[in-house]
Amino acid sequence: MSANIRPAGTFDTSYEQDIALNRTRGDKLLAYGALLIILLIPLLTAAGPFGLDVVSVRWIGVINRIAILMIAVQGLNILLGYTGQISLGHAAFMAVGAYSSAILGREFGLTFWLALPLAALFTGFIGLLFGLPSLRVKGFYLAMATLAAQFIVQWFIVNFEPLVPYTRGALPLEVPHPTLFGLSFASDFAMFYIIVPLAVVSLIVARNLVRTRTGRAFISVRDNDLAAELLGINVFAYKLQAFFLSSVYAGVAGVLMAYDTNSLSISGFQLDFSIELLAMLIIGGAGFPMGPLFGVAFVNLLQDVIIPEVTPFTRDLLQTLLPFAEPASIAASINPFLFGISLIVFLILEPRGIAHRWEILKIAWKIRPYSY
Amino acid sequence: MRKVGLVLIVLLVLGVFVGASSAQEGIPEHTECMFDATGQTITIHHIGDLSGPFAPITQPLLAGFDDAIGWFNEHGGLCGATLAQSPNDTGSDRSLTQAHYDRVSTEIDPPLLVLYSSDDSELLRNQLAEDEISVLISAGSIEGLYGEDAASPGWSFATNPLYVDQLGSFCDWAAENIDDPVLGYIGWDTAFGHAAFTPEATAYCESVGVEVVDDAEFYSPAATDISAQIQNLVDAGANILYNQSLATGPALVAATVVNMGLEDSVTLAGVNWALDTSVGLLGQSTFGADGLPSTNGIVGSVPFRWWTELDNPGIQLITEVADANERPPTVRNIAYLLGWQTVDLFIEAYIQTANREGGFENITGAAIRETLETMEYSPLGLFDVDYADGALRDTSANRIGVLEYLGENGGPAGPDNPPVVQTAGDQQFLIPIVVPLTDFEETPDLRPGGADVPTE
Repeated sequence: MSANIRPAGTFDTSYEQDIALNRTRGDKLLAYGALLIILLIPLLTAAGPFGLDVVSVRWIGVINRIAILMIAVQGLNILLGYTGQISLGHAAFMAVGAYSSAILGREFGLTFWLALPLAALFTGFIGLLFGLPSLRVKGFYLAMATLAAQFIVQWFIVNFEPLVPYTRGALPLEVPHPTLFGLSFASDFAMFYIIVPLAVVSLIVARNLVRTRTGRAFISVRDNDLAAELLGINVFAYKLQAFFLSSVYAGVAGVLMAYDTNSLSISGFQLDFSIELLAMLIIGGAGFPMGPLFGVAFVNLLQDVIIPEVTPFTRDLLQTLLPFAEPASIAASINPFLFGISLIVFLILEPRGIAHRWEILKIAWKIRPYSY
Repeated sequence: MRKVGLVLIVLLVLGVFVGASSAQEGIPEHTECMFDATGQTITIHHIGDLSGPFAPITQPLLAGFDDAIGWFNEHGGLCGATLAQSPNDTGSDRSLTQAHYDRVSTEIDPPLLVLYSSDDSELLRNQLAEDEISVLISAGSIEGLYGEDAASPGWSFATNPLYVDQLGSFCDWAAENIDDPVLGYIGWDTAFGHAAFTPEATAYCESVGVEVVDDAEFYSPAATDISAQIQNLVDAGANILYNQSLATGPALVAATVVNMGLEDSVTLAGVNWALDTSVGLLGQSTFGADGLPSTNGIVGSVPFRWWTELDNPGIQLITEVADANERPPTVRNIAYLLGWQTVDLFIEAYIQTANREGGFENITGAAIRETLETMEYSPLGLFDVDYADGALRDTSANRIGVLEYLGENGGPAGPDNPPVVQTAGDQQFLIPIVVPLTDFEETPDLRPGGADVPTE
């Protein structure tokens, strides 16, 4: 990890320096600079208070979605990347958070600010429940157990009669806007300043977690659970903690997703979404704190920005190259085609994820010119 | 084979002759342009699933848009402006719908947008209102058009009746045409699949004499075995299976019914999408005892004119263009027609709005909304648009039809009329047709609190 590596001649002289998240001035500049730029983006759009039109308003929505999914994938990273426990039901846990917060807001009149932590905690407990099989099974068998969570949660939301009056089954649910002291967070601009700080906090917590006793226990369980148990680590308890934390993250992401779009539907939390979240983590780099950010940003920028931009050109090109193909079929194939090709190429070139490449680049920079 | 060839040639010649002679005559004309838009390009932006479960329906939609836009551009465009289309594929992923909407609404801000699915209209309902963007859509969920309270018309205007009203229409027909009708509802486990199974629809059906099985059955669009769901409905007494799905969905229900040996004991029925060409073609992997595909005989809503109605000038024109562009049978479906209808309605909405607002540069989403609310128009003569001065967001005329297959003697295939077998490359298939069983009638209003919802 590059965090442990300092440029030649740079030494820690205090405990504060030793435990700092960003240990060099360069790291600090990069982290704080990036955060500052992101926080300034909405102010540079036409939706901002200054009416500047330097950046398209569209980017606020793009960043909001990336931030929400980053929180969800960060949860999956704790479970899979740090603790080595696979989950195919992460979208279902997001649904638990989303629906429970929406019900708390709609039916019980709770504000977003109360609904958010309560829904996150509730999701954590549901995750804990589905983590129980991890005591006895692991690997593919655990994947199957968590897959069951995906379907069970979905069934409860759609079909469980005592719940249906609140969840409206498979029908959509309108979610109220968050408010604070009479101010409504109705726009993407306003939601940005709820979502992005929460995403930053979630990232910092995850980065710190790996350095704590709990985080190190997670990693030992991932690397060799038998050895961890022999060292006195309560493997089952730590696995459950990982499920709980992971689900809390998923719950927070679900709540934010519901309140961001003000509309909720179970169709947004299907199995394919769970697999998509897993794919984002693998692309970004499982086991790296920055992996979720890279993975989510890569997939979202590809799908939301790059593919729509190159689609007209690709459509024309393919129609020229494949004159026998039906133009309508070409138009419909472009998105999955480009997305699939990008993923395949990427996974061949960087199978350990973008975060791994990022670490290599950072190390190479820090130890220059002594790269050997 | 000679007979088949003869029938096809006669049909083709008849179609081309009728088409060539009167393709444009009798089609409702657009309002006269008061402002010239020559030199401009007006793009129809649409957001929908092109590569997910809706693909069998939506790919022909693009072809319909392409052909309609091409034809209208050759015939003067939109008051001289060139029409273009910009499709945005969501793959049925809500986050992609949101991403496309964000991009289109912020960077292009079109006054009129086209959506395809109930799920998308529900997701974007509040955002469309905030951004003041009007929408044309061919889906009819209460929540998407009228909101959760079913009483707040939004910014989306449907080109078909509400799904719940379609079920009511079907019950009217079933009460008169099926002995002791007991309806079992089966649909995709999605917002669209659940859209018509409401307490109001159930109460209405029961009030007209159609018993409804209490528990509906649902299945995933990716499901391959739904025999348990069908068995449950049949065990509960259903002799009608009303299907709320499209493309592969109704074909799966039909195939399962045949495979379970239930084809003589249940009537297959469904929403307007269940009678589509795509269903008729997909249903040809399983054949019933009568030697016809399992999907033969699906009864359901046909809320606009169909390909077989060659006496309709709009259908004549569409057939002529589809022939000229050598569109295969897989493309000649409900969505191809929708593409044409939507483009025609889009043009009319723009012209009326520009005329009222004093030019194309003054067109806004709110102005288009005002136009649509008061518009009385029949896109290519295929269906009637009348949103009742803003009180409605769906069309209210429907009729019942049946999906069958073309016979050698011209009508639907049957015991005395063997089906026409068409060959395309190394594939052979039967030609699906839709035969209307009733005339257009007003659908019951079955929204919660709707005028036709039984009070007790």
